[in-house]
Amino acid sequence: MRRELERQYEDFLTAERDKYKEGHVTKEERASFERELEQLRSFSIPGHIGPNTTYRGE
Amino acid sequence: MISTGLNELTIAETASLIQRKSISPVEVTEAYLRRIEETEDRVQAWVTVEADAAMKAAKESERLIMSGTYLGPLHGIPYGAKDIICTAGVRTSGGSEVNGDYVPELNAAVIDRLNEAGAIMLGKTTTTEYAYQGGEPPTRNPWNTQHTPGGSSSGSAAAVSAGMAAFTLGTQTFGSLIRPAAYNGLTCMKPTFGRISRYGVFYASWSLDHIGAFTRTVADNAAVLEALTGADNRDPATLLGEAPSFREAIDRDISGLAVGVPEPGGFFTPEDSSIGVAMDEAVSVLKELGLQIRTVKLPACIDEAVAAHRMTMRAEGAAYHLESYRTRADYYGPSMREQLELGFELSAVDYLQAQRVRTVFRNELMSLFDEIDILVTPSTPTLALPGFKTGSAMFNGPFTNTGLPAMTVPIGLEPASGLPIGMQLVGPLLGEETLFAVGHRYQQATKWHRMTAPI
Repeated sequence: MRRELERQYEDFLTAERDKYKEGHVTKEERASFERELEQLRSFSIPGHIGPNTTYRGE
Repeated sequence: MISTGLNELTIAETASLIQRKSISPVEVTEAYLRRIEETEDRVQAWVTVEADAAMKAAKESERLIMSGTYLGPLHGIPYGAKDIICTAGVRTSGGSEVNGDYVPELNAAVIDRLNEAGAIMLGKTTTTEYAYQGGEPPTRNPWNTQHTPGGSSSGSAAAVSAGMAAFTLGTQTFGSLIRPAAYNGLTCMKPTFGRISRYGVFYASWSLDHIGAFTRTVADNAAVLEALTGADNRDPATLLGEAPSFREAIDRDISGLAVGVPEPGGFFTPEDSSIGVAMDEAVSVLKELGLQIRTVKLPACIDEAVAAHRMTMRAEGAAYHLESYRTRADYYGPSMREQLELGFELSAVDYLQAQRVRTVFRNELMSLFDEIDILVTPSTPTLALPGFKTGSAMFNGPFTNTGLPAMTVPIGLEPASGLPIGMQLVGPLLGEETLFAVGHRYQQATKWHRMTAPI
């Protein structure tokens, strides 16, 4: 069983590596990144809202 | 006469026996080490097992007990720590080849706290690469070894589920505590941001990282979290002031509390119908316990909040790894490298915009708690997936993003696969005590947390 799991794991690692044959960022991840960036840039926020800061209690 | 294996007892049960000198920390530690020997081949939860050091610590623990010194509910309790948590003299690989032979000189704050509490470290558990997405370890789900235990705290969840440790430490930057806990039929609290010092833990994201513990029961989780909680000037994010008594909180009266359930068909709709069925049954139990159930509408900007979360992780991850990436980029796994590359592309303006979106989302989410005491959702959209990908953390991200406390408790098993299902309970900032109380009463009324993985 251990040997079969090892083979499955090796196959998984190979498939993961193969996703990046064309470069460090896949087309799908690039598209998702661009979409999210646009989503954030187009989100309207009132000027008095600042960046998230660590909550320190009441 | 104890008929249950020592490694099957809860922490509370073991602690009681140790305190009464009915069993020794040496026997308890031996039982867990034996269990590791029996099951590790099939589960692969550990990067390092420190058997000799654990036995040495157990003997010292026994000596203290016999000389009349009892350190509290974790005295003599064996645990494991995710391999991004630094341990003096014990390799801390971060699940990566970038600096995989690193042996820290100092302990993380949480390890020192557990030493002071008398807990016994068995070893280090597997993680995805630097607790990021990608770089999945070979670790298997003890409930069904064809399936993932989830991640990034893969080994920590699987180890407790397989009875190889009484509890383990993990971290969450998106869903790396709640998701694996749910997949493995465990109880886990991701506390309010800043409750527990992250000093000596490899960061995935400064503004998102949380530490928590995997246990079988809510009562055990309260005991471990109480030992870990407190201010630490080495982690400026830690909350000031006195740490609450979580162990006392579990017995609080919960009758009449208002429980929010998200509107059906929205963000928290599970993909597996068995999760929806289990949730309905769990909510019925809460109702029988005297809680009032109300449907609530979630903030409209939840999708933007997810985007802000992901951008924050990329930017902060890239900044944290900047130096080592310059010289050792080829040693990073491809999936992590992808996220770091994208992080390096982000501008300061985009990063700050993401933080402003997080502010809006946190304010809106907090305002929900003007009407309710806790929110409940499924812990995960699916059951643990077959294979090695660690599954979706989408149901956990909103509460990591905002720093709100969230806890998962087991609420059922999917009959065909035998895989566990979890319910996520969420509170307002600093609201852990209510979550512990509700979770404890739920576990007093049900038996799901008593089920053990068939491995």
